[in-house]
Amino acid sequence: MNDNRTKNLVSPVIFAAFGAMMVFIAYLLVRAFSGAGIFEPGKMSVPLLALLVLFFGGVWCTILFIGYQLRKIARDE
Amino acid sequence: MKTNFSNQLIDLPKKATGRAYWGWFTVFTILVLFGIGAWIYQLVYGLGVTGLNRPIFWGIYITNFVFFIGISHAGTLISAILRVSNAEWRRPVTRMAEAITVFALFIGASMILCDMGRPDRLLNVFSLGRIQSPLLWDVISISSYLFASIVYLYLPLIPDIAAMRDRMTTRGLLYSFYNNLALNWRGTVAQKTRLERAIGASAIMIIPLAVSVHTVVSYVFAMSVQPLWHSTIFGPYFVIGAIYSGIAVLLIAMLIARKALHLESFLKEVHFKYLCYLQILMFGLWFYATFGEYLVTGYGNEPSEMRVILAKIFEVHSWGFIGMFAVMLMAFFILTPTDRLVRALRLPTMKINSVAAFVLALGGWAVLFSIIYSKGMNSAPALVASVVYGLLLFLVVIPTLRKNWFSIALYSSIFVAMGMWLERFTIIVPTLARPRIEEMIWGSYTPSWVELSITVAALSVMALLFLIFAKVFPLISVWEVEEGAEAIEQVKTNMQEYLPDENGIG
Repeated sequence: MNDNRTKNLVSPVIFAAFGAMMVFIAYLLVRAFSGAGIFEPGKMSVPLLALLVLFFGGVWCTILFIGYQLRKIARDE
Repeated sequence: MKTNFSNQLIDLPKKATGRAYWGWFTVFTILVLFGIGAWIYQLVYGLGVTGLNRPIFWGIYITNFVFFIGISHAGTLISAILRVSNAEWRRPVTRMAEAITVFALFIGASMILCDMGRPDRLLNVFSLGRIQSPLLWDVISISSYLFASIVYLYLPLIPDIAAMRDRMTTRGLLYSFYNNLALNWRGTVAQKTRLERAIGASAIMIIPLAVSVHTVVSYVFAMSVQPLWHSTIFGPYFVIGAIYSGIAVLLIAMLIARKALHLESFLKEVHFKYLCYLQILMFGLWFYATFGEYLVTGYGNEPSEMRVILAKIFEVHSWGFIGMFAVMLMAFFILTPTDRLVRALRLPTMKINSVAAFVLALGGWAVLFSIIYSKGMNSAPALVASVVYGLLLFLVVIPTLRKNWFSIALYSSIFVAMGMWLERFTIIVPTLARPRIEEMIWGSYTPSWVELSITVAALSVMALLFLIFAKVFPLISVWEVEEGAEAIEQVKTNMQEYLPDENGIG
């Protein structure tokens, strides 16, 4: 067995990716609500938007959970 | 204590390098470099060097994009479904499936870059993006899927990377690469519990995510009001096609790895048989969706949609539509026990090598098509010739191609991969050639050498990435195969849970 313990570089990458995606989605939402079109018929409705945000929010929260598990693995906790 | 086969599997990357390995590596590198050259040529001279024109502004780059994103379902989705359903036979298959997913996603996404006349404006997608647009849904879902797939590939790799690290005798760059990725893995109970939890969560997450990706890809077409794109069936239709082509590419990769790395003891005939069963199911679903799509549209007889249907069957791009059905039916005949029917009816068959039979099946068709289309005929002779030639092949060649499950998997998968590429082409191009607005000019499209070179380069990148992966990581998940060998008792216990009690009724 090898005894060289290393710093966990994977979890920070996952946390950073989560942060970047959240910022990107928030930026898109701000743009959507500050511009015209979102409430117009035939354009994207608010419930559909909420569904999209909830779905991808759920996906990225799972990824965040995996990042947390990897952190625990690296610390053997 | 590692079993003998575990040691063999961990040493696989060392064995990957031989004369044949470097030979293929060189060939694919040359093809990729040629493709990069073609792309630079396109950047310098603009999209005018492609066959794209008005009104056909999407051609084989977007066909490749949809095709590669489809292939990416090979892996993660199939691997995740098999993992969640506890299919024990999955163990030697999942690693390759997951790797294919990541590679195909990278290549698929890069096809968008090739389709852009001004790739320097790529960042505008992010800075000026509108979440109301399906294109932005695509950006979000594909980037999420790519990241999730990398994580899903990485998680089951951790114990194998740690095993490779522990077997290394020198402390070079490769050692620190493995050491950093191994995350201090010692195989303790706490680490195993955490890893199982993470793999379980990611497997469950990845299934709806993969479905969402190809649904959203279909929405890029279906959310517009172009004839034959604006269809409610497009989401499931694309997902079915994606899984179908994904399994085909996975089977081809498994066959190559089995032959090249002598994995006969791990990738057995039963693995190919089960995946071929899945292929038959996917053919049924694909045919049902295709039938529903064209029957409902044709029955509606809406003029703009009928123009596209007729263009697909009889006009300039009909080679794609007829070719798609031809190769898909060939795949179906190979997958199903047609040889028994031929023998039962005592029909004549040719005693030839299966490779020769395949070349005859495909080459004959290609020659027939090129003669018919080069003479400027419409597709009616191609249709008749296809039926006659197909029946002839059905009689004489298909029993040869159905030698065993390996040959069934190989030949049917090649046909399926070709058919699914043609399906994407035939969805995209004829609709653009016959737009809904009658005042717009009609068009036709022939891909240029630049587009064909970039397509070949994209396929070569896929092969190259697979070769590099095989050199760095074991293509079979060692710890999972090991765990499978130890799980026989557990499987017996599980079976006893659902078998009927001895007392029976009452």
